[in-house]
Amino acid sequence: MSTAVRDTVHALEVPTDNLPLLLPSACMAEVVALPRLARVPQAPPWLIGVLGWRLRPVPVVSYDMLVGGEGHAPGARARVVVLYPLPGRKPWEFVGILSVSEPQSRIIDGGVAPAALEDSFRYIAAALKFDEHTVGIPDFAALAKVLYPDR
Amino acid sequence: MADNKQYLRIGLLGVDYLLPNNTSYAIEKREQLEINDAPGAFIAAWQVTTAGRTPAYSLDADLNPLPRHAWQRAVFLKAGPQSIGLIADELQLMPSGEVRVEPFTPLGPAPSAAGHLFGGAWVRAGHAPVLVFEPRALAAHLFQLGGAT
Repeated sequence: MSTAVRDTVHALEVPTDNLPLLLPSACMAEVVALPRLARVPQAPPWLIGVLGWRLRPVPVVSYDMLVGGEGHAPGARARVVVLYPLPGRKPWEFVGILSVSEPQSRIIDGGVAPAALEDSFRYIAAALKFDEHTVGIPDFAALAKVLYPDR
Repeated sequence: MADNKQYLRIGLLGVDYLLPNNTSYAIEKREQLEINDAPGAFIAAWQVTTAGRTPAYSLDADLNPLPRHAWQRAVFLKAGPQSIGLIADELQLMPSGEVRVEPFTPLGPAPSAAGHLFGGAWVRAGHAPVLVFEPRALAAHLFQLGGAT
């Protein structure tokens, strides 16, 4: 029993237009509906805007655009997954990840199989196979390097 | 808790930005400036002083050059020994204590040699955040637009 509990991780599957992301629940502060974002002039296209969250500004990233995919206007079902600050960042540097629809709760246990992934899916530490589809677990250290390249 | 600083609200084609009041700046009316009538020019006017001419750039809400003529005022930033200007559709000095600015780190590479264009944001319930300029970076962005000579 204790082994089963220790080996179980609660996570959210975050739908994107390409590879769904699997984010450990412990990384996430909240999932919110996509409100009106403030655009950030002269920023990379994958920074789709700034969310006002709990009276804090939170930059919102499109993973699809970060890996070079096409961008399109988020639909009515879109959500933002607000992540706690990435490793080495200041305590107020929350980051939002765009989810094209409501994220789904997942439990990772010993029955989940690792999967192979094409090289085109960057910033992914590992992939897992759930039922018939593959999800990617983000490489947070690599993400921190691309999101904060000057620092 | 409200911020003790004052901020100048700069409206650019319907989008608001804030400039901290600890920046040295001057607001000039259109009639006090030398207007650039050249078609397609993104330097809309010059501030003429005994020291020379200082350009005022016309930008869109994404801070890209956009020639336009229906404007009334410009704000000139002091950046070291030089100044540089920006045409604004709206300028309003926000009352002290009304604005609360939280730190904000834009993502990705800095677009100017002086760093990121924004260093904070004012977030209110029910509104999109209003970004706060880093004055040195804004001046550097305007300088790198060129065309001033």
